[in-house]
Amino acid sequence: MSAGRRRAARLAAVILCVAAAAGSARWWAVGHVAHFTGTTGQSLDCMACHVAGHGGTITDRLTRPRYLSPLDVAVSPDGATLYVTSSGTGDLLVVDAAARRVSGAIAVGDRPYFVALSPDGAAAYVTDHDADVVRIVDTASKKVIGRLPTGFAPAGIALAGGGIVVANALGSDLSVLDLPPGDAPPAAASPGEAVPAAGVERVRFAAGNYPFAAAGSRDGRRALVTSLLAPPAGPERPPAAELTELDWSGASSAAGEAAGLPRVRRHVVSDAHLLEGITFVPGRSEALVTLVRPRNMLPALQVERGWMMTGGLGILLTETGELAQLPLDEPEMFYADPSDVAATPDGRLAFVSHGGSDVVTAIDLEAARALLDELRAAGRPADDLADTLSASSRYVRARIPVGANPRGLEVSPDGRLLYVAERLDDTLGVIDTATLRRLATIDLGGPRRQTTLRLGEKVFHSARATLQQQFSCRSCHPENHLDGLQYDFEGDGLGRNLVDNRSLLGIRGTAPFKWNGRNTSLYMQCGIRFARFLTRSEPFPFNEQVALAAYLQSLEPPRNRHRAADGALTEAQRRGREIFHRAVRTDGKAIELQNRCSTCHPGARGTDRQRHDVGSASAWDGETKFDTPHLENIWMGAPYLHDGKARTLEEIWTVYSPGDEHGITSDLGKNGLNDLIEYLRTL
Amino acid sequence: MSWLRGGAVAVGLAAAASALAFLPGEPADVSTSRPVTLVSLTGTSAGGSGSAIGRGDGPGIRLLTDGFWSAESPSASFDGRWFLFTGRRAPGSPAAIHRLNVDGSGLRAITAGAGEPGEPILASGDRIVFTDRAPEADGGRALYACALDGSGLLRLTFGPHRDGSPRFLDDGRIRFERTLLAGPLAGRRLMLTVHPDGTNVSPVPGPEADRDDEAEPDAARVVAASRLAEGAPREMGRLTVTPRPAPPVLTSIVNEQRRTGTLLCLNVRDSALPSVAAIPPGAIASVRARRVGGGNGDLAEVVGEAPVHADGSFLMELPADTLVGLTLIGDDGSELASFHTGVWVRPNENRGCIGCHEDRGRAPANRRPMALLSRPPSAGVVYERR
Repeated sequence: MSAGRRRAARLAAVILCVAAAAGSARWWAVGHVAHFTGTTGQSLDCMACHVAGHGGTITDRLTRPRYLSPLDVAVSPDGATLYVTSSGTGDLLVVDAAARRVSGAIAVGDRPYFVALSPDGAAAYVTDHDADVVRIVDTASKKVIGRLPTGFAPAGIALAGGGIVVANALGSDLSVLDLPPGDAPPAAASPGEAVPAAGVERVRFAAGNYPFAAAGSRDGRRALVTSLLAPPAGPERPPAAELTELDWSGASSAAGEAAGLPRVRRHVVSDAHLLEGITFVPGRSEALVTLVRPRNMLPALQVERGWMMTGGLGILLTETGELAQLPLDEPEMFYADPSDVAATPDGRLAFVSHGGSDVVTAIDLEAARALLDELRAAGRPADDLADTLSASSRYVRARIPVGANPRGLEVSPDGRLLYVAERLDDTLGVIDTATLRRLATIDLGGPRRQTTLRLGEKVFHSARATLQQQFSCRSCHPENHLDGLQYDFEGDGLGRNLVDNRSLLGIRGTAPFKWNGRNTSLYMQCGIRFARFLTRSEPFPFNEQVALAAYLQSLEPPRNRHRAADGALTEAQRRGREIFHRAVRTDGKAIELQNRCSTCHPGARGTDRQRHDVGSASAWDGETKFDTPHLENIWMGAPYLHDGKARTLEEIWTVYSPGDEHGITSDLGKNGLNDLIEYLRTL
Repeated sequence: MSWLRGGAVAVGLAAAASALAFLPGEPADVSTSRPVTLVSLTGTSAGGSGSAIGRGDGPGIRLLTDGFWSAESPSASFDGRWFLFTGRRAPGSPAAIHRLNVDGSGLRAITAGAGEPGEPILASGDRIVFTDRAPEADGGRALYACALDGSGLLRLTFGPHRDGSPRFLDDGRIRFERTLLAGPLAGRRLMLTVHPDGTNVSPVPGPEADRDDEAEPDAARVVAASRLAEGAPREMGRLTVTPRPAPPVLTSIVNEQRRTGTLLCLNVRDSALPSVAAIPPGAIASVRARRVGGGNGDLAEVVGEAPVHADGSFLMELPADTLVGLTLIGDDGSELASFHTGVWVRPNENRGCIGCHEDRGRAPANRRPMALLSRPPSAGVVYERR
């Protein structure tokens, strides 16, 4: 063979090898993508999943734009100034209402949530959700002049009873805080100086599961606090969230009155949860609350006609305690995630923002009252129309398109304008309450560029991809967490294999997903089968699926309030840690490896990412092994077990592991179990 | 010689179209930015009456369906570049669904065979929906779907009735009109919706009354009444073709390998019919499903029966793709009430309803039906995993 032919042969061999390698690589890549997405024909764009899907594109990572994510808005008594919480940047934005532009920004901590103004507008009170304080802002000097410690993760805030009422979301309680003594607020701290604590907590009450919004009556004698979630009730009872009412108009005792303690009433909102927004109606003994009525007790076999969930408005008559529920949806069109509610000063109109549908609904309150009067006259219960979607045509005046993910609402003091915090557009919408049309958009100054994470956040919060826009991802994962409910998906039989919803916080690195552990990645979890069995509409386009996965993986769990800042454990927590890692029982007998806590819940995340049989399966489950959940912030993940039947951590062992099926605990006794749980709360 | 007659009609229609261009009041806009307008025409010649489709956005009407004895029911593509129509080459020849570019090029037959397809509309995902004969009854018609190349034919609606006037709703479902041809409610018209895979057939919410006779508004379609004198070539309607968003592609759980689906009813007594709502609790022992028969449209053989639980719920496995009517059976075996309009399930479909002829404007109550607390009859079936 000549040298030329040998070279040609070598070249051909190289080409063949390269082609074979490329073919093999492509074959492997197709299989790899199919394994992690559960579908064939997906994009083979490596960068999409391995770069953008883990925090955004390279440009995203270099630029790292900080979005404002305005959440709540308050209007000064003269209507001239708006105060907007910028939850993304930690600022309270000051907006000139006439000029419709931002005039200043006040740094108010880590993650400001809600804002309330003093009656004279001299002070703004802002809850800092991550720092567990209320910041007091002197609106004249635009400086933070004090802080008030609260419970865990303060959210809603209202002025009532001569103090401040704060909903502590993660504490499942509310705080009544006394304002700083005297008329003069504390002196302003210089920049960089720690603001001194001011004021004290007068009293703290239990307030349902995940208290969220708060409202005070104009006379300051009542306050209402909503709860986002219903108390865990197990899979066989429909959820019912609570409204907590504080009433200073007649304290329960003279001593209580002297101490400034209110009478506390609890209103159970039957068959509803996600009470996100609340307001008192000016001039009337009425309060309005947004709500969602889930249908989790039914198999999720269709979406039409509200088979998954419907949104509603609760009307509470504060004098009698009657709580009526009216639907906000229509028979074939839904307005997802009712988020906030506001009423005009004349009490004739109310507005509800729908975070999932980018719409504000205008409600004719007079028409709603007339309808409820008809019900009373007919002797029908106040919530008799709660599921009658066609009733909404009686009182819904308009559906007003607004920016992405509308949240906080506020009506101007003269009642002419409605302001809408458009969270995912970084804008403030201005609506004319007479014409019910959008008048203007106030640009709050957020970044122009949309990152992958921001797109994912929009996908997560939008109901656009669901049939008839009935719900968004957020509808079942409020605050990126969980709704505490159990669902029956039809793909594995009706009435069988009920599954508990799980938190999305800290989900990164915990694959596989689903209780049966069959979804190998978030791409599969949020892919075609998600559309087929849940949203019933088109699957997310690939770029949105990647962005959604990126967003979900970016969700960090909140700071664990049960763990000391320096990581030190209490005595009980230390004892609990020893129990968690123990290899022998209290009687000295060895615990088999598979029966130790730390075997299935190893490492920092507390999961081996395998399926195990812990005796939790019921006769209605098709299998006995379930995915091992991670333990990060397990204290806030109630209910527990794959079907949510354990309402508390204790019940996992005291009720559902009588034979030590879920690790050896029967030898611990009450105190030992308490120690174990104390430790688990720190994880 | 039928092609000769067809040709004659086409020539006649072409002449008619030319004549229409000079009629008083006819706009002569030659702007190129003007949206395409398709005009449906009828005409008469020595060969009989026929129909055609032309372009009406130019200085006259230009015939697009030359060579067809009849061409009707134009339906535009989402990008506004082509349209579907039902065409017949000659009197007596089989009709077929065709697609044609709006400039008259690219003619292609989509369907073929001995059927009588009509009323084509474009679906998302390169599929079409149209009506054709329903074999269960003389004069019966049903909705079908197939791909743009004619493959993947799928029947969407079932029963011995006449279905027509399909149109897509913005949410991706199909709305259509059903005329009952037989049975005690013969002649009654219903407005129904169905998913593009034939699942979730459901009456349009609102009073379950006969359909309003007014034409359904359609953003893309402007139907004009005949404006010409009797005997002259007539313009039957206009279709303004502009790009429009495609409806979403609804996902499907239909598994053609299975032969059944299930029907879950939450409470049979939850009904807008006073006679049903008045049945005392506990008086209904079971519910019986019978096929809605062919000839007289009455309820025929029994295809399923399920106990009604104390809360009024039942779960029944039904043969797929079969219109069934339900009968409520009392403790003593008597028939308490029968529902003739019927319902069907597609293979693997799990269908839910609140009650028997419930208020369509209502959402269900959030209660676990007792029917699900007993082992489902289909428990042995291997379901697809989500």
